[in-house]
Amino acid sequence: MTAAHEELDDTELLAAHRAGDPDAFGVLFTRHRDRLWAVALRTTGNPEDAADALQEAMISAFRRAVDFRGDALVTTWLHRIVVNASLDRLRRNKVRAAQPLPDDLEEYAGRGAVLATEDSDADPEARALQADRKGTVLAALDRLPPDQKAALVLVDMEGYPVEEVARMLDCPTGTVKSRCARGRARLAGLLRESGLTGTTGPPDASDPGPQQTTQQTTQQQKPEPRGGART
Amino acid sequence: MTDDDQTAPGEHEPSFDDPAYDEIRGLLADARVSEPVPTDVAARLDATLAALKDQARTHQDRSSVVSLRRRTVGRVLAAAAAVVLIGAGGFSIVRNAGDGSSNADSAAAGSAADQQAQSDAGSGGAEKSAPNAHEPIVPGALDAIGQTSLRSAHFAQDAAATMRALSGTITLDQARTPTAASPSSSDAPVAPSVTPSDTTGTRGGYLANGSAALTAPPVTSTPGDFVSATKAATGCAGPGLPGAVTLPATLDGVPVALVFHPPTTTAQLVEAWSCDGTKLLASASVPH
Repeated sequence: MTAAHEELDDTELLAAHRAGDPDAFGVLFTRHRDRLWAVALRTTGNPEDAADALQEAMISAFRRAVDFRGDALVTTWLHRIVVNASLDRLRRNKVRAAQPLPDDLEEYAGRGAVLATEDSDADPEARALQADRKGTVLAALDRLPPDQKAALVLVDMEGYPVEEVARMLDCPTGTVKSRCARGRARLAGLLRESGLTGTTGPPDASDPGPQQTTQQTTQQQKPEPRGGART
Repeated sequence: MTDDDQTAPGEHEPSFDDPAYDEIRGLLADARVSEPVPTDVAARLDATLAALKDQARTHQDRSSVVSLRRRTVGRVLAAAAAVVLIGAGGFSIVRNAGDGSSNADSAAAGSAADQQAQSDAGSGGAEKSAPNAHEPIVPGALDAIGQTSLRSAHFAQDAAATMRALSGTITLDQARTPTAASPSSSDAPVAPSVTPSDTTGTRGGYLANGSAALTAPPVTSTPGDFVSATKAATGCAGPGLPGAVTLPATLDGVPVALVFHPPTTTAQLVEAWSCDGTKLLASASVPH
């Protein structure tokens, strides 16, 4: 790798890789792998599968670079490969569909999975509460159908615009919106069951959710999209 | 579109922009990962990337070698005088022992050796070379449990033969019944059965002179003949690469996952992986 590589944009790096530059792909993938890791981790739901999916995706992208036609951003193409690898793995492991709330949150935290955004200066009680809430959300997320889960991870969690997510998932924008909306509704029902939310949304049609608890509520802003301004 | 995208009759279809779900969106945003890739995963990715680079370099080297070989392979093959023996319901290919990958494709060589083969056929059609100078290979043949057998020392040829067998250039039945004649028993004449494809100078994708053509049609889906064997080999899934076709096989007698990557416009990468998908054992790029 040379300093010159860092000067190249994604498209130029991919072109260099296709032309036989042995270091170009490494620079490209390393540039984006933290975000790709985040998507893989949240889509698969556990670090082991995420690592496998990311590795598979990297191998696939390395070898299929020649197939990239330039009709989408390189990052969109990379995300598509990672999401597909993650969904493949998720579907293979779907026996874990009714996964209970993880009881190893501290271990997850050590791997950067659950407590990654904790403020180390916050008081222990608040941190514990936040960790508990996050664990509950992730456990509920794991119970969603893979397509809805992937849409929510990319749109609501990672903050990508719907149009870009549609290209990542290779489906119409309307489908992305539908998956997000239905995923949120299911998630709301699951979180009501767990007592995490009580004020969110109408009852999910697939989940009557009769009780409306108010044990914990949160008011948070939509995430700012990563990687610059997005619409 | 999946079943999960469908709305059941009478079911409430939530709106994407429904502010009632802002809290859910906030919870999801709060649960996103902001930490970098863990160091152990990063190290694993770096190691994999290094292996990919080495592999790519090796492929480039191989391409250079093949280009040089093609300049002289015609003369070598013309002198080889190997003969394809076709038995009823089976096939076997006799070639010079130890010639390895020098059996590269060459139209000129095929033409020259065709003449030699026809000459041989005219004089009895039997094996002409010294028995000890030949060894049988049954590339792409299926073993008793329906797996294709390959050899690491001749992986490129065997992979190409497997691909031709899968494409129907030769039938799987032919591959399953490998031979009616032992090439080492060349003193027992075997009359080759002639098929229409013989007139083209190729048989089962192999040049009639016995040289293994390294070209083959790409494999892009699991052939029906292999479905049952694939299902039976659930313990040998290989690396599970997206977009690839994986079939059960044996390499030097050891079960492996034979992985056919998505073909490019000119070639298809074929790999033999350990059943658990952790080790790449052999690979070859087979041109169409």
